[in-house]
Amino acid sequence: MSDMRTSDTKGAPVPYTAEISRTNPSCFFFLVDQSASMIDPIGDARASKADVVADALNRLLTELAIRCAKEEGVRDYFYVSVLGYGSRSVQSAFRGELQGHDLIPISQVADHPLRVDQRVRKTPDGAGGVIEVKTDFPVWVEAVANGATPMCGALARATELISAWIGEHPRGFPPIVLNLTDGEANDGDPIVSAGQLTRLRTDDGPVLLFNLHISDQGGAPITFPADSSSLPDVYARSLFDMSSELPSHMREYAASNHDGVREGSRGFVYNSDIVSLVQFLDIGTRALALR
Amino acid sequence: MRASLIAYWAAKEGSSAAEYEDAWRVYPGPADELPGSWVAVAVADGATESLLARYWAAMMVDEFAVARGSACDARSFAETALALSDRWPDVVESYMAEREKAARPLRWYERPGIEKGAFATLLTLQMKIDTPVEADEPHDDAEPHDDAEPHDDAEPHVDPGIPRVIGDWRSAAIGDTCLFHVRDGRLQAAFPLSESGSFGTSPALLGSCDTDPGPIVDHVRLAGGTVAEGDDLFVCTDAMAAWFLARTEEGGKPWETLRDLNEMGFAEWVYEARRTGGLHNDDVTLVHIDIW
Repeated sequence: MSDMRTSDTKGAPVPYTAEISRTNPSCFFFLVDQSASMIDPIGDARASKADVVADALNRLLTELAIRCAKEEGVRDYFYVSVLGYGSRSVQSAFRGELQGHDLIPISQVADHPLRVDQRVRKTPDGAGGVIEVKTDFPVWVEAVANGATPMCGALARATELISAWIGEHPRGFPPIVLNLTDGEANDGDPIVSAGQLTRLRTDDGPVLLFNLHISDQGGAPITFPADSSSLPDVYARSLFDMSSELPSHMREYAASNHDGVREGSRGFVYNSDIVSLVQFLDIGTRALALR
Repeated sequence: MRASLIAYWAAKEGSSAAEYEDAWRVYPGPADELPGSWVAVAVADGATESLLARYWAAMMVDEFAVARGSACDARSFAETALALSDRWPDVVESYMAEREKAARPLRWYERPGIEKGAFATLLTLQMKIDTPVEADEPHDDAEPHDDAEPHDDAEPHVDPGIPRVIGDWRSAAIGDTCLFHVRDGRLQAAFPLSESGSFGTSPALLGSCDTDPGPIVDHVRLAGGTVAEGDDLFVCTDAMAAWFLARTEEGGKPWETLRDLNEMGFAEWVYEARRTGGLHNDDVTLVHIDIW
């Protein structure tokens, strides 16, 4: 395997530049809060926090599969784990044919959704109007809200699995962990567990831990902040503190889509969309139309 | 014609030859001594993140290698590209029919990419070599420029040490597939990119669903120059182009390495360069025209 890392002008390796390919894959770990508190609705919306988290996760997996799709199928640039944490402790949140699998290639994820729903989206009709078109919406994870919130247990399980992954892929792009939660851990201090996780590293840099905080506390959505001063409560600040800083090239992508992203911005999102995260990673030439 | 042309290609390591998504076409064809006086080269690089990119790249090089005006004029270039886009729905329909016939209908994860279309960079080079021009004829520098005006500037003084001009070239490009023109042991022109730091994952691309000539005209770059005895012209896709420029910036002469390649040794050279020489692991395509 070739060493495809980038060096700076002094010859020092630049972190988070390892090639992501089928021969040198990276991995995503999604930690999904499935505790009882997730049953609460968000603000005036009819959707519960569990609905919002499940929807975000299904869209993340969809976008990831689409980014890796080629004519022959989905290329395994990534391996994926979805760990739910709630009443049944910490375990794979996949159901159906993927049930019980902790870490699987994205091609298997793509080929085995629980079901493919149809959703309607609005799109320009080319004549100044808008039309509704049906699109496929694969579902892997259903909304679940039950029991306690063993977030530390989930972080510890991810640490265990990622440690093994790094043993097999020591030079690869570091694993990325995204924790989707309302923030109320009740099995310890998640900052300690997060610290153990982000001390793991490949030659290309430490593991990245990002957080999507879904809260019923209200306030304005916040995306990739560089400080915690505007965050509404102790849970948000705790999740912010756990979150890794965005590496420079991810920050550039984030800044092109979100206002306020700057040096020091962390992989933390409060009550907003995090699906753009999937676009932060380079797997080859991007397919962008001329403008 | 006192010129030879050779083309090399290699798929990205870890990919099969069938997954090679660059494409190249040369007219009249690779040869130790090219017949006639006209040479055309088109090289395209299909975008990793688009479906059917290799079909689109192949269509483009087939067309641009014979579309003579497309290297000289931005609007002509755009018209050639859009004429190809008009044919794209038939390509997709045919592809989907093949998949159905093979009992492999499109999956949910392919449809968004098919709807979005295929994307590729493109560089086209057209070169005319005439009877050797006498020494007092113009032989202007081949610096890239964005406006392909005719090369009819007369120069008042001719250095007798300058090689004899025997023709000229035109090139048009979208994206980061590059042309390098070497004369007298130095890089005469690097087009459209001239710095190794300029390469990234979001080059300008021609899309198979493009319908508006405006953005194509805005993004296409044009260049031209003279051809002289002893010149070398290299057309290559981004990985090799970035390598070429990085070596040049270090004070090296990468053209000497490329000139010494042969078909048997190319794969081995790419293998080693990927490990030790800073060649990014990507599909690689190189067309070398040697003028003597």
